[in-house]
Amino acid sequence: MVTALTLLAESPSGLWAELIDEQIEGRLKTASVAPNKLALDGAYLRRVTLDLVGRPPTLDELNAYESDSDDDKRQRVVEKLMLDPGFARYQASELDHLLMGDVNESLAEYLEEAIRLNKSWDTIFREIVLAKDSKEGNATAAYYRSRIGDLDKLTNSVSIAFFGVNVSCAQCHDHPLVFEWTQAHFFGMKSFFGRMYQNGKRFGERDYGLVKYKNPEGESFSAQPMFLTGTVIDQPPWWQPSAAEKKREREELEERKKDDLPPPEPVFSLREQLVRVALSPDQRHYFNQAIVNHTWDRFMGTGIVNPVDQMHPANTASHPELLNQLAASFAEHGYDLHALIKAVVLSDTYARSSLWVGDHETEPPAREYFAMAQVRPLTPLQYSAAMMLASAAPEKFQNKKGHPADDVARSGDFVAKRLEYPNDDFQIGVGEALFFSNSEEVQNRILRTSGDSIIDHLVKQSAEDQTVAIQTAFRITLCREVTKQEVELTHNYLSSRQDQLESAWKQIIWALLTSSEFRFNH
Amino acid sequence: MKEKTIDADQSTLCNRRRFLRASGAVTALAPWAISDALRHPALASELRAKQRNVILLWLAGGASQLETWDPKPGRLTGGPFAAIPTSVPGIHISELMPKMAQRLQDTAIIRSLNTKDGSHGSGAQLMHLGRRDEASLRYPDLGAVIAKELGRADSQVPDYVSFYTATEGRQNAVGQSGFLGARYAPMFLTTESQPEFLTRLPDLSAVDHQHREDFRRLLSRRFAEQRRGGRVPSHNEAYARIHGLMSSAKLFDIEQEPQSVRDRYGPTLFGQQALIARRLVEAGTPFVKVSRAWWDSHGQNFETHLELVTELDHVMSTLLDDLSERGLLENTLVITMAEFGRTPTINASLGRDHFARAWSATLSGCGIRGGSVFGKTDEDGQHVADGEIGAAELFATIYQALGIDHEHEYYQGPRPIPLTDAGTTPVLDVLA
Repeated sequence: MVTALTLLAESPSGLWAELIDEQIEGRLKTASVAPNKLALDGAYLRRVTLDLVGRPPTLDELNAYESDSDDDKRQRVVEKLMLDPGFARYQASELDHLLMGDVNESLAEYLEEAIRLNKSWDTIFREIVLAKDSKEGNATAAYYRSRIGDLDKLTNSVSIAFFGVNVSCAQCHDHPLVFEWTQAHFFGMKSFFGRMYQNGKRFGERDYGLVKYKNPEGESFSAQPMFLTGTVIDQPPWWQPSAAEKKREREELEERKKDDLPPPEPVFSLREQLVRVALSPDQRHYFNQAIVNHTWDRFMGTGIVNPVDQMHPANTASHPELLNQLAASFAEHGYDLHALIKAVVLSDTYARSSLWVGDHETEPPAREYFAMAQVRPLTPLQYSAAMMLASAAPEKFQNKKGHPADDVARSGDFVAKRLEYPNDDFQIGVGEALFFSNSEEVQNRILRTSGDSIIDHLVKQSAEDQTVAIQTAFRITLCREVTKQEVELTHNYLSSRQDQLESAWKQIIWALLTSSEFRFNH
Repeated sequence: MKEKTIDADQSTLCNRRRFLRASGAVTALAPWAISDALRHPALASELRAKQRNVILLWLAGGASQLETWDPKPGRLTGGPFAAIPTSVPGIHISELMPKMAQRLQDTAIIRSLNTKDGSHGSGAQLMHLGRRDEASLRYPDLGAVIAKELGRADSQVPDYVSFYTATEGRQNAVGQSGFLGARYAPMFLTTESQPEFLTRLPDLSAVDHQHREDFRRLLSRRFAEQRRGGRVPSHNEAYARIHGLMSSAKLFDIEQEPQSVRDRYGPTLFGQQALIARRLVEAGTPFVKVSRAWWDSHGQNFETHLELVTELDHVMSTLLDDLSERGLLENTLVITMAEFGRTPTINASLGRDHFARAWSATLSGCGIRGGSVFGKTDEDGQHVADGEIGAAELFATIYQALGIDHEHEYYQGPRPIPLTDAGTTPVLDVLA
């Protein structure tokens, strides 16, 4: 009989998940580091739901997962989540952060559609890098529109997002740490975009032009279009236009500006050359490894190469073999992002507990062993969604029609806009703590008593059985059983406030929603 | 009613079991009340003795050096105002600053800034960061660096406060903590002089507010004990500062000051915010920026400056006097600067335009050799004639005056990032 599990084993996701665990466990064994046990059901479900659809599970989802005793339940829940409308939307928002996090424009709409249709990563790369401007609006034109005024920044943004390489150091001088990166590399990459320009509201690309630069000693150089690997692009001969040709060009551009038309297309596009060379079989390892490493970093909390924008030979990977094989296989299987994400979240490596049970003297194994799950701050979308979900009575999600959890998860914009996206050096600021402590919106919308809220539910429930109410509060917010001490503490508090039970529950829910356990993905 | 609390054993970060045992003995009203050891101020005042602070008076839009610190009387570029002698023989400033003229002994004037950037946006960024952002590296601004270097992790007061009430140019002057992260982002006040979310909601009692925070902390501690590293500590540190910050709300309330002090600073918003700045540094806030806008006098330069310089003269001299009388000036550096100065050439609308080639800034108080002038412009003020410096040198000077090594390095991954760009030297002539 063919079971779901055997089907998975034969799919790329199944093979990759196996490869991941083999390689990670291999190194653990060599280093004599014991990996953590797998996380409890509630912890895994919370983690994977947050990571895939950008919200925590509902109480019903938690109950169903915990009571499921099938071997393949992890796989089934992942597949179900990947069909949820939240999946495309949340993955798109994460990719949008990678691609557009440094500018004030968004590709979220394009990316959501792309994820929903499971467009391959090389297709997304092509559609973005080769974006053309038009009056009708091109789905990916925002990528350039927000960067056309600063080609240095554009060069670096493309290099980081698609190749995992931050070349900005090499802009002013040869990279001090990485001898492979010289100014010629930075300006070589810039040359692919060096002919781009803006005409009125529209951007375009010329058929002529050369990027020039100076070294720290003040000597001038002309750059050639050169990929990160050092491959120089041959281009057909071109010439600088004469004064008369310049004048004609200006006139044509003025005409087009008046009609709000984009500039004419080049005969020979250097951007097309970049796409061609970056995806050619012997040069595409930068492209392949960058997205695999980025995805890994997003789900595991640390990249195989760290930081993720420093993927160069001097910065060694924790698991070079894994990265090579996974990236190569990902490319061979058509850059299938869904399959890659599925493989990562179905690996045992992803599913380990984040709990460190060692004593205070011993440090946990270094992050690069991936012996345990990392504690990651929730993104603004995750935290706001988690707050909105937890603020609603569980009955609200028992309606089987539509996607009520997804609808509620999307209603927390007033929280999300107050939060900062957690980058590498992220620390939680006092602004967040002040907002949750003293804002009227939090008090009125999250700790609301509107009849359909968690507070209403708990007040009603504690009239019948206070212990059950306490259990519910902890399961809904933290996706785990309440401990004995916590029950005792909560009981004590509630019994001192029997006259104002509603207010007492508000304080308890507030404390749960602002606790570290709720604030982090773990 | 006095709240009963238990002191947590700070050295072991409160043994949870001991706490639980003890809590049973406490009033049922507050089963998880833990006192915040930081509420005891003894330690804080000792630390404060060494506290150094900065008050930046940001003259947004670009104040004219010719109507302030570098007058050119009798020249075509000089405009209608005279220069007057100051309390320091040989130094003359604009007649629009008679009060500062009498108090120049604490102030160093730098007349030789050439910052090369005459646009509001990027000029303001340069003068906030001391350099430019890279394509993918956002630097912390002066306030964020000072907050990190001079603030305390457990600070009970905000460590970077920024006032910018006007709307013109506000988007140019937003604080930026860059790679230092949100911990060092400014408390940014725009429409009101009171920060957002600093006061408890009226329908939430003080006891409830405290109890839920105590419960939050207890739940979080259990979590943090079982997980290492990462960003968990910053989460609890942020909440641990709430109580102190909320009690600092009164620092923003000038009603707390005697009427005579408020009268001294005057009824203007700039004056009132300078008074709040003094209250904040007195309480231990290391960096306060008070912005006054909008100096961008492309037309009617002299009317604009008559009004704005007169106000600046009054507020700045009052602030220096007040700090000095309270013994705070030797530990507080007062800076005046802008994104650039204004053209010596007077345009057809009797205005002065953007000018970054030769303009002035001042440093007063902490670590500064008062009564000094550094640098010189030519007789029409068109070029720097002597001692040319840029933003980096000004920043290095500020850091050194505060006892901060301007070559100190932060790390971004493996990459060292010095506080000021490599090769920068401070202006030793203005340092005490």
